[in-house]
Amino acid sequence: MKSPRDRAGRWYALLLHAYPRPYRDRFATAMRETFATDHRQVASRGRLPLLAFWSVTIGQAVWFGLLERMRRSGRAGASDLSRPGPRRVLPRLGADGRHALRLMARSPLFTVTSILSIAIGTTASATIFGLGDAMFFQAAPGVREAHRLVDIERRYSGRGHGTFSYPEFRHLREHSRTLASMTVTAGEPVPVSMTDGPSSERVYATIVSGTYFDVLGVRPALGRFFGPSEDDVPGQHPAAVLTHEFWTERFGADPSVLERQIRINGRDVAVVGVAAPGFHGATIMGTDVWVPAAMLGVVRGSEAVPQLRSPAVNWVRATGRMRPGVRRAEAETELNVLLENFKAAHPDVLATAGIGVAGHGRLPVSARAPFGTFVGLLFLLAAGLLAIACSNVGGMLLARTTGRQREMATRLALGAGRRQLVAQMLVETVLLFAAAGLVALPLVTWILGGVDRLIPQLPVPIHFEAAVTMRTLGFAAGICLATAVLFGLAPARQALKQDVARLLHGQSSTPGRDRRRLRQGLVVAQLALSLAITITGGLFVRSLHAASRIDTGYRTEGVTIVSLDTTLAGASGGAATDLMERVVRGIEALPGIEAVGHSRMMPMQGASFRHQTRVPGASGEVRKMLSATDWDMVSPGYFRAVGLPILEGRGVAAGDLDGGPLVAVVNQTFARIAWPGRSAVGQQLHRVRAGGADGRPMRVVGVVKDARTRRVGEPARPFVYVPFAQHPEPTVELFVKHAPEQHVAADVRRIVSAIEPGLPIVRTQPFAEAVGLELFPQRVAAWTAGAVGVIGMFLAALGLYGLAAFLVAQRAREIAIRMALGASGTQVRAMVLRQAAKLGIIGVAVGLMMAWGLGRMVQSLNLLVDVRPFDPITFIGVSAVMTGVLLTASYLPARRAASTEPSAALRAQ
Amino acid sequence: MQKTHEPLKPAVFHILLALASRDCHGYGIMQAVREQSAGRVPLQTGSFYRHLTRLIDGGFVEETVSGRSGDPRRGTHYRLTAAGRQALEQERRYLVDVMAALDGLRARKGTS
Repeated sequence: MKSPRDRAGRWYALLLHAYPRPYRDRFATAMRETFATDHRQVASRGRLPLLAFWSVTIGQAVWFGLLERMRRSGRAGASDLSRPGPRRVLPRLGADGRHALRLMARSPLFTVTSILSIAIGTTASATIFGLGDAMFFQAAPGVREAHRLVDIERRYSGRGHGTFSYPEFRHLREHSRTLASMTVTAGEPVPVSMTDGPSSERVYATIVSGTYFDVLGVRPALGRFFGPSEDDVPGQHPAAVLTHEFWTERFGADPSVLERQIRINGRDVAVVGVAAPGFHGATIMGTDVWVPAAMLGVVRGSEAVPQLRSPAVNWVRATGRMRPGVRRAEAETELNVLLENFKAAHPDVLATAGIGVAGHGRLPVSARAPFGTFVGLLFLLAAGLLAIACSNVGGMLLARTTGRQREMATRLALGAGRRQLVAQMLVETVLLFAAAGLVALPLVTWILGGVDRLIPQLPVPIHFEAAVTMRTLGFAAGICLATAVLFGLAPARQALKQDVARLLHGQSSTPGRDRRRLRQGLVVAQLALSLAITITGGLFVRSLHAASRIDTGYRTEGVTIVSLDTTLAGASGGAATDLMERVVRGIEALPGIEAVGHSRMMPMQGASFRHQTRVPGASGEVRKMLSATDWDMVSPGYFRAVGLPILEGRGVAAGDLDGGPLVAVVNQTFARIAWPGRSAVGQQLHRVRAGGADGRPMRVVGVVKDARTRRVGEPARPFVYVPFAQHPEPTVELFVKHAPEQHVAADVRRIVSAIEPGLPIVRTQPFAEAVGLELFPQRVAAWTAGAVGVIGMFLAALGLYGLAAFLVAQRAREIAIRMALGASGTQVRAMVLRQAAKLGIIGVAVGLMMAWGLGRMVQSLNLLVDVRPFDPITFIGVSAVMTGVLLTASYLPARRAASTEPSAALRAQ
Repeated sequence: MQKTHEPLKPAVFHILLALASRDCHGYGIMQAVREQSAGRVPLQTGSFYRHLTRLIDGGFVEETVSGRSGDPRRGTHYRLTAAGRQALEQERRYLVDVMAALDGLRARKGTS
C-alpha cells in the first residue's frame, strides 16, 4: 500500500544527488522527510497537480543543486538573505547575453550548424512527444472534465478487452452508485445510406445510448441531444444528431435541417440536433451522425434488433462518469458486484466474465499498449538523434574552450568570480540551445498540425487532431534547457580547470587530458548511437522486404479494388445480384480487362467475417477448430481476379443461382481439417445461425488454395466461399484485374454510373496498396529509423573529423619532431588513423550491442516479419558502411598531418 | 553607526516568523509559510531548504533534535537563535516605519 510513496521517496533521494556531498550529509534526511509529507499531500489532489509538483521538484533540485555545487563554502552574508535589488541581477544577465551573442556572431558556421542540428533533434523529439500526448493525455475536443471519465470493459478471468450486452449495460447503469452515469457505443461507426432528395450517399453513423452526450458533458450547437429514454423502444422516435462538420458540408449549415426528416437506410429520421464544432465523439473514430440504440434495426438490419434484449450478445463498449470523490478502484469493485448479481439472474452470461475499469482515453483500451510501445520506440529514436546532435555540439564547445583558456585565465587573474564565469558560459550555451528551440517550435507545430494527412486510408474513418499543448511546448523548452545545461556545464567547468600561471605564460595546460577524454567519449557515444539506430532501420527495411515476398496467396499486381454499397442504390437481395451482374459484365467489356469478380471482404485488413460452421459427423476437436471459420460471398470471376487457383473441383459458377442447390467452395486448410485424407468435393457443411440452429446444408464443389486473409504473418485459417447470388450482401468489393500499367478507375466509374446512376463508388485503390496497410507501422519505423540513422551517422562522422583534426593540432609539435627525425608521411598518417580507429572500434562495438538490444525490443513488439533481431546481413552491412565513413572522416586530418612542414611547425610553437 | 537595514526576502521573513512562536520541523515550517502568506510564497522542498541553509549558515536558525513526545521519528526540528530573533525584530521595526509613512500619506491625502 505504501509502494507508490516509497517509489517517489526513492526517486527523490536519487534527485538529491544533484546537490554536493556535504550538503547532502547535512540535509538529505530532513529534505526527504519534508518531501515525503508534501508529496503525500499533493498526490491526493490528482494527476495534474502531481505533474506540476514533480516538475517543480526536479527543476528546483537540479538548479539549486547546481548552485550549491558552484558556491564557495563559507558563511553566507546578509546579502543572501535580503532582497536583491533589480539593478543587481538583470544587468549582469544582459551583459552576459550580449557577450554571448557577440561570440556566436563571430563564428557563424559553428553557430548555424549547432542550432540546426539541435533543432532537428528537438523537433523530432517534441513531435513524437506531441503525438503521444495527443493520443494518451488529451481528451477529445469538447469533452468536459475527462479525468472523471472511465472506460469500462469486460474481462474474462481478469484479461481481455471485451464488450457488454445491452441489458447488462442497463443493469449497471441503473444500479451503480459510484458512477453518476454510463453510456455505451457500438464501437466502430457503421456505413449507412443517407438519402436527402434524389441522391443518396454513404455516411457513417455511430450507435450510442441516450446518455452519451450527457456523460461526455458536451452541449449541442443547435437543437438538442437524445434524452435518456430515447433508446428504450426499438423503432420508436427515430432521431439523429449530426456532427458540426457534416452539417456544414452536407447541409450548408442550414438551421432548417432540424425541421426536416432525412432518410437513413430507407427509414425517415428526424434530425434533432447538431453537435458543437470540433466534437466527433470521445475516441479517434470519426463519424458523421449519431443515432440512438433504438435505431439499431434501421442501421444494421432487422435481424439485429434482438441484440437489444439479449443478455448473451455482447456488442457495446461502455464509458462512465464517476461521481466526485470516487476512485477508479471503488468503481471497479462495485461494478463487479453488480455484474455478479446480473450473472445470477441470467445464467447464459459466462461465469468467467468480470469488469475492468481503465482511465478514459481517445484510443480504445486494447490499442493503448501496442500504440504506446510503438510511439515509445519512435521517441527513443528521436531522442537518440537529439543525443547525437547535442554530443556534437558539446564536442565543439569543448574544442572551443581550448581556444578560450587564455581569455579565462586573464579574467580569473583580474578577479572575476568562478561562479560568474561559469554562469556566463552557461548563458552562451543556453542561448544557443534556446535559438535551436525557437527554430524547432514552429516546425513541431507545423508537423503536428498536418499529422492527419499522414494517416493512411483505413476501413473506418479516423478523426485525429494533434493539438500542440502547453505540455508539448513545455517539453520542447525543457529539453532544450536540460540539454543546454547538461552539455554546456562540462565545457564551462573545463574552461576554468587550469593552472592560471602556466597559461599566462603561453604554455598549454595539462588538464587537457580530461577534456580530450570527454570529447572522445562524446564521439564514441555518437558513433554507437547512430550505428545502433541505422542497424535498427536496416532491420525494418529487411522486414518490409521479407513481408513483401511472403506469398499471401493473392496476386496483387494489376488489380484495382472498387468498393461499392448496393443499398445506396436501393438494391438488396435479388436486385443487388442483378445489379452486380450488370456491373461486372459492363466492366468486363472494357479493353484490357482480364477478370472481374467481387466479394464482401477486402483481404488483409486485419479482420474478416467469422461464422460458426458445422460439418456433420465431425469430432469435438474438429468442431472446435472449425468454429472460427471465416466466410466470404464471392462472384464467379472472383478467384480469377485475385489470383487464387482452384485445386480441386470448380469455383463459383454462373449457374449457382438463388433458389438453386446451395454450394460452397472451401480452402485447403478447411478441407484438411474437416475431411482429412478424403476429397472435400461432394461433402456437406452448414452455417450455424444466431441461436444455434443449423442453416440449410451446402454441398462442397471445389477446393481453392489457401490465402492469408487477415494478416501477413499469420498461418492460414479455414475458409468457406459461397456464391454471392445465393447470399447477397450490400457491401461489395469489386476486384478488377487489368494490365499492370493500366488505370481503370475512371473507366469503371463511367461504366457504373451509366448502368446505375444512383450507385456511387465509395472508394478505389490498388490491391497492393490495400494489402500494404498492415505494414504501415513498419514503414513508418523504417523511415524514421533510417532517416535518424543516416543523419546521425553524418553527424558522428563530422564529430570524428573534428576530433581527429583537434588531436592532430594538439600533437602538432610531436608530429613535427617525428618527421624531423625521419618519420615518413605514411607513418604519420598511420599514427593518426590508429588513434581514430581505436575510437571507431569502441564505438562500433558499443553500437552493435545497443543494436542487438534495440532489435530484441523491436522483435517483442511483433514488428519484424521473418527477420531475426541479430540479422547478420544488416549488422555486417551497416558496420561496413560506418567503417568506410569513419575512415574517410579521419583520413583528411591524417593527410594534413603527414604533409606538415616540420621546421615551420616547430617554429610556430 | 546603524547599518541601513535591507528588507528581508519574503520567504526568509516568513520562515523566521513561523519559528518565532515555536520550534518546528521542516514540513511544518513550509506549511506555516504557505498559510501565513496566503499562498503568495509558494515554497517547495528545494527552495525551502535553500533559504533554510542560508539562515543556518548565517546563524539565525539552528537545528535541534527534538526528543519531544518521545517520538524519535520526528527527527530534525529548527529553532530561532538570538540573532534570528534580532533580525525579526529589526524587520518588524522596518515594517512599522513603512506603515507609519503610508498612514501619514493617507492622512495627508485625506485632508487635501
